[in-house]
Amino acid sequence: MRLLAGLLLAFGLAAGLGLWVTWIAVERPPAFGAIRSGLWTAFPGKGGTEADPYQRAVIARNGEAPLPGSDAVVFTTSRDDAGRRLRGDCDYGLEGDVPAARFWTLSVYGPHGELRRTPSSRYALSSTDMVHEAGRPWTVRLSPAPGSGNWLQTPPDGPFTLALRLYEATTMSQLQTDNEKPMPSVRRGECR
Amino acid sequence: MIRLLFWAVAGLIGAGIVHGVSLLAIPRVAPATAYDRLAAADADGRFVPLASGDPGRELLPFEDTSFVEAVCRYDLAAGPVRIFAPFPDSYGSVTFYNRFGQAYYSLTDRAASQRGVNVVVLDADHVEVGDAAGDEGQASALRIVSPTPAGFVMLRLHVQSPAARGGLRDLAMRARCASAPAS
Repeated sequence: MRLLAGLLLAFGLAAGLGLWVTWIAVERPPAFGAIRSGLWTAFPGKGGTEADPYQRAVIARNGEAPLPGSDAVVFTTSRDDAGRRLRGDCDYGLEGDVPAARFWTLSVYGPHGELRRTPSSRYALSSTDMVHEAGRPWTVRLSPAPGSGNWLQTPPDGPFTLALRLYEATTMSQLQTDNEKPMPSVRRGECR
Repeated sequence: MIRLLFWAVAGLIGAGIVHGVSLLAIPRVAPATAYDRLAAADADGRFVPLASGDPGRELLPFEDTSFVEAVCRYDLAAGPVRIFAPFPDSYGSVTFYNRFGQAYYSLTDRAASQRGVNVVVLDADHVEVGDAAGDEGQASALRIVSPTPAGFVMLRLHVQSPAARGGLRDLAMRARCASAPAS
């Protein structure tokens, strides 16, 4: 009887705890191999065959087809400079230098990478189609209300995520150590 | 008490094994991998442009809408697959994904000698057959080996300004993805 109880305990613990840890690992994946720069985080190994088992599980579960790091380094943030969640009912200003790359794009998503409809129907900006004065920092206005210049419309409410993709970026080691050119800041402006 | 501790430790070791096995199994049992989702594009054996910037109709998460994208799903059971990917003057890339959504090969416009690339996707058996047969016919195409029998190819063409989108879509329609004889 004691043997049976012990076996039940061991198997129950193994199955329950093992599957629970896997579920947690996929829902909130560990940040192995992450590059952090200010409020931005990138997983340059995620897209290729060198992805670790946690990244592979997340890719398969979420149905992603991530870009290999050799094509682009993808930085994302869901928070502003003060650590607050990005919200559709607030305006934001993105400003700063962007690490060397052939070009870069800035996209707005819902929390799960989905597009959220906006009146402008424009969900990304490309550095090739932006106003920029050489030697000056890049500036982008993020707001649900129309604006001029480099303006990207955000959804009118709810949380959102920003993705900044550096295509044919400089090497990883430079990205990690290049402190002179950090990623842009995201400052919160007016909220409604 | 000692006995209880013994079973608890055994359970913890077992939990580690269950965690490792279940984690490795996820790509194989996940119900909606990128390959599965792309079935809705009707892109088996041909390139189909993906709807871009249309919320609710996107097939994959985290789509970069500053690109025109086209996709082709392949299955090497019917033989190797021959890919032609045209590239524009601006940035273009063609990325080869395995059945589980992991990229195993990628080429950009800078790697292409002309306005596009020819690639033959094979599995290990095709390579052996091709080597044995001398395989002269496909010498001009780059040959790559897919790690899984099925997979998909994504063509991504960068839209430098909104006016260029239509032309890039036409260019993406010229992409080819078709079964090729093994030798």
